[in-house]
Amino acid sequence: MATEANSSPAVNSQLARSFSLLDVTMIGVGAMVGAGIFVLTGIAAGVAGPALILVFALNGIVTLFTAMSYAELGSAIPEAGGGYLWVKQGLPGANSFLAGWMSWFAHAVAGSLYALGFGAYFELMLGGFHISIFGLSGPLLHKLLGVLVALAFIYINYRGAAETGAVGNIVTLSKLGIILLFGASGLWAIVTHPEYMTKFVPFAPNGFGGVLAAMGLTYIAFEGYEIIAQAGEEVVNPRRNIPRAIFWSLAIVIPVYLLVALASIGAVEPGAGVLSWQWLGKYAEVGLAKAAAQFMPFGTFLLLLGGLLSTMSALNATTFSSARVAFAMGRDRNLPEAFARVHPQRRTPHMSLFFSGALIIVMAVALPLADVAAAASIMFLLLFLQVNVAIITIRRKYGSKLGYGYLVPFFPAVPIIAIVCQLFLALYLFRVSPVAWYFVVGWMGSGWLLYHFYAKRRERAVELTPQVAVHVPAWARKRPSVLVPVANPSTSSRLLALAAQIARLEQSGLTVLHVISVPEQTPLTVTDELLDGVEPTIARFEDQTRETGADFELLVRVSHRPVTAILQTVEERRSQFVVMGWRKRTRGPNAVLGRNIDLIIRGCNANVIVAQQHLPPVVKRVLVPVANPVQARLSMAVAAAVAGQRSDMQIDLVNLVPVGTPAEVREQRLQELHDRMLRVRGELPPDSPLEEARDQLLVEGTTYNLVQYEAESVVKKLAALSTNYDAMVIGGTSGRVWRSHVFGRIPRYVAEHAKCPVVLVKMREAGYRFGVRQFVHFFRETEAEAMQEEGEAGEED
Amino acid sequence: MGYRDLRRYGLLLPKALWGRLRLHASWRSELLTALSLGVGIASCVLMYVGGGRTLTWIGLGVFLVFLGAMLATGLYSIERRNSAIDEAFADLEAEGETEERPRD
Repeated sequence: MATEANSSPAVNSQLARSFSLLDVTMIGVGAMVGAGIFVLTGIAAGVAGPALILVFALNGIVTLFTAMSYAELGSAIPEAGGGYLWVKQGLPGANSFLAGWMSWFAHAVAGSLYALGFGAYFELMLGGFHISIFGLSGPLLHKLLGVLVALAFIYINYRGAAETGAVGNIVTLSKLGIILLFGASGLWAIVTHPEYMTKFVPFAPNGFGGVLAAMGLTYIAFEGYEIIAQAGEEVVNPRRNIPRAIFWSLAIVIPVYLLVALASIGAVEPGAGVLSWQWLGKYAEVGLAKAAAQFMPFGTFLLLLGGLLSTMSALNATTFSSARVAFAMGRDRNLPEAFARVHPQRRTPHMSLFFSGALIIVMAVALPLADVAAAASIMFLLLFLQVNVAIITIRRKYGSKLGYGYLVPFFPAVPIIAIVCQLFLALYLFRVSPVAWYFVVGWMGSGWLLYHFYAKRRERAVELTPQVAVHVPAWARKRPSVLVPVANPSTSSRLLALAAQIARLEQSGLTVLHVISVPEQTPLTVTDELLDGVEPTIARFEDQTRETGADFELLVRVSHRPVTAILQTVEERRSQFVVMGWRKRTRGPNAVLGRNIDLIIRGCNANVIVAQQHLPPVVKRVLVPVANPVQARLSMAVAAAVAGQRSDMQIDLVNLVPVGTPAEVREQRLQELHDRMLRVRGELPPDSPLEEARDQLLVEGTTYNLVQYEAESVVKKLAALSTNYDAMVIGGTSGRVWRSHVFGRIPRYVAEHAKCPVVLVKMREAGYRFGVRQFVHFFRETEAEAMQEEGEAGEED
Repeated sequence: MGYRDLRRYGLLLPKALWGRLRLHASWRSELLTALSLGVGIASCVLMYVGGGRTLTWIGLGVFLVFLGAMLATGLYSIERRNSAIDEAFADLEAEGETEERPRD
């Protein structure tokens, strides 16, 4: 026996809770009042005009919608990772990978923005001292200086010297002090010169489009509250303090931004013929420093100091955070292991730091500052959009089981409004910077490819339950098989015989799977003790399968949940058929056939055959209700397998019509059914004879009778007919793609009321349809279903 | 991620409290939020319509009122919600249940 995979128990490490409400509020304020406002005020003023005030006010409202989502999720799931973690919890498939991928890019691009901002401020300082570097000036010099400072901070992060604790608070307070002094000085200038108020007319010279464009550009200056959630694991009493800190930080920051906008537009004297907003726009990223020189004591010096401090601390923070996101993705096996490497001496994630640094530098060099700001804003908008979707699914799935310290009012209207606003702003930014969108689309497209061709496989490899191959013939890895999970040797022989018949009809082999279910606390490793305990059982399965005469392989898997092991085997062995036994009783209010069977039917895209365990060994007469010709073909094949391909078997295909259906309609329906059933096989005879209500079809060399009855109740009629048969094979009704159905109501009721053993047949769906159904199911899943899916609903069936 | 992770992180409420806490913001909180948001949106309309003149400044003032109202509403909702959770835990303890609280 050979063990194919092993997994080790997860390491559960937690950080110490040491941040008070004040600390964590300061973290949020520090993250927001910083480089964004220093660098982007001038640019945004040039786009929106005096309506910059309105830009900040509207961005404040849009931000509040998402901040409420962050407050709710941060209070309930206060773990390091914040948005990335919630998206992972609340959205299916590639979303969590893309959330990490976008978060990495967003933080790195924000780093590029701050590096370029630093370059602009540093050039201004050099100008003050009349120093020239190789005669360079403008964007080229900004880029050169930006690259140098980025390299410096990559090195600092590599050394492991991060801005922490008291130093961080001093920097934040310094920035806040300078900005407040700037605002107060500007306000004083306006109050003492009432004529300055005329500078606000015209208010929105570029119309509302200018307001929207500036909103998109400056959105990045409002995203700092996200850091509060990211620090959630280290906050004292997070259920109370995280939502409070988010509200407090925004209540501090938004008025500060309004004050900056008021002062910068109202207090500058641009000179004859130039409006103040045009003047600010001309100086773009250093507009604020130029304005401060006019009305603020030591204005140039203080703003330069503030700008340099802000851009450096923000660059340090984003270099740190982008490297950590890449590191986390590497550790989650979403990116190559190299990203998760830690330097043996420095204890820093040096490889992810290197790649993040490269991304920061490439973006800083490749794009102008405004485009970099637009790209970063788009990424954050899309990331927050995902969080707003995740909050809806998380409340739906985990609802009353989480200790929410704050609940978003008008749920889910508020997150939906936030989604709409963010999507609109992100799309609107295409008008401002198409090139930013090209980079974003390129990044997301490459992320999607990376996920599907790399990360998805690695993610699954981690989740793979260990298996032991008891008997694996050469064909097993080469062709799809019929999978039959077995648990109890006393009831499995009939099931194996049925599966072997289907394998023969399909000309494929049989994969017999036995799952050893171990408690959650037990690590998933295959031990000799574990195998010794089940050895006699496995030997009986092997004997029973050999008796069927089919080509087979026998696998044993160890799992906390049998469903997981079965679904993994279906995928690995590309099984086209899954044959399962059913005890004809359901458990739990949400189970249809039984929790495990329901989950397998929903979770795998294969033809699923569920046979009642008391199926007799000899079956001669089989009843097959038919409505859908394609499904009927499969049911007919299964019926032949149930009857063991006996020469004297009789398979009656029964079509039911409502009582009182006109004869011509009945005849037409029967003819259609007859024709289409043959057409499925491409065997339609040119003039196939049709007797009134009975026909003979030749399929697989077996006689099938097609019979039509009138019935008031399908269930009652089939139950009555079932008394004359040894078994009934009934197909699942095809459900709408947005409905997550197992078999449909009628087959289930028929199975419950039939007087003979029933075999339920669920046909596999087209790949895209199955994918859409899985996606829709994820969003429609209720709390009870989510628990059931994860095996948390108690007793297994 | 899933229930298992939430449990491992100690984030799930004790089973005895599942379904006992309401999962919607209180009507007071919703009313206050609706009023505040109404004021906030109205203030932005005033700012824009004002065209940089008197109405713009009135709008700016009203916006600051909106911010204050949102802060007060948010803090009020947080306090109410946390008090409800604390009361539920107190009831649980009174009933003799000894399940663990979510990790703080």
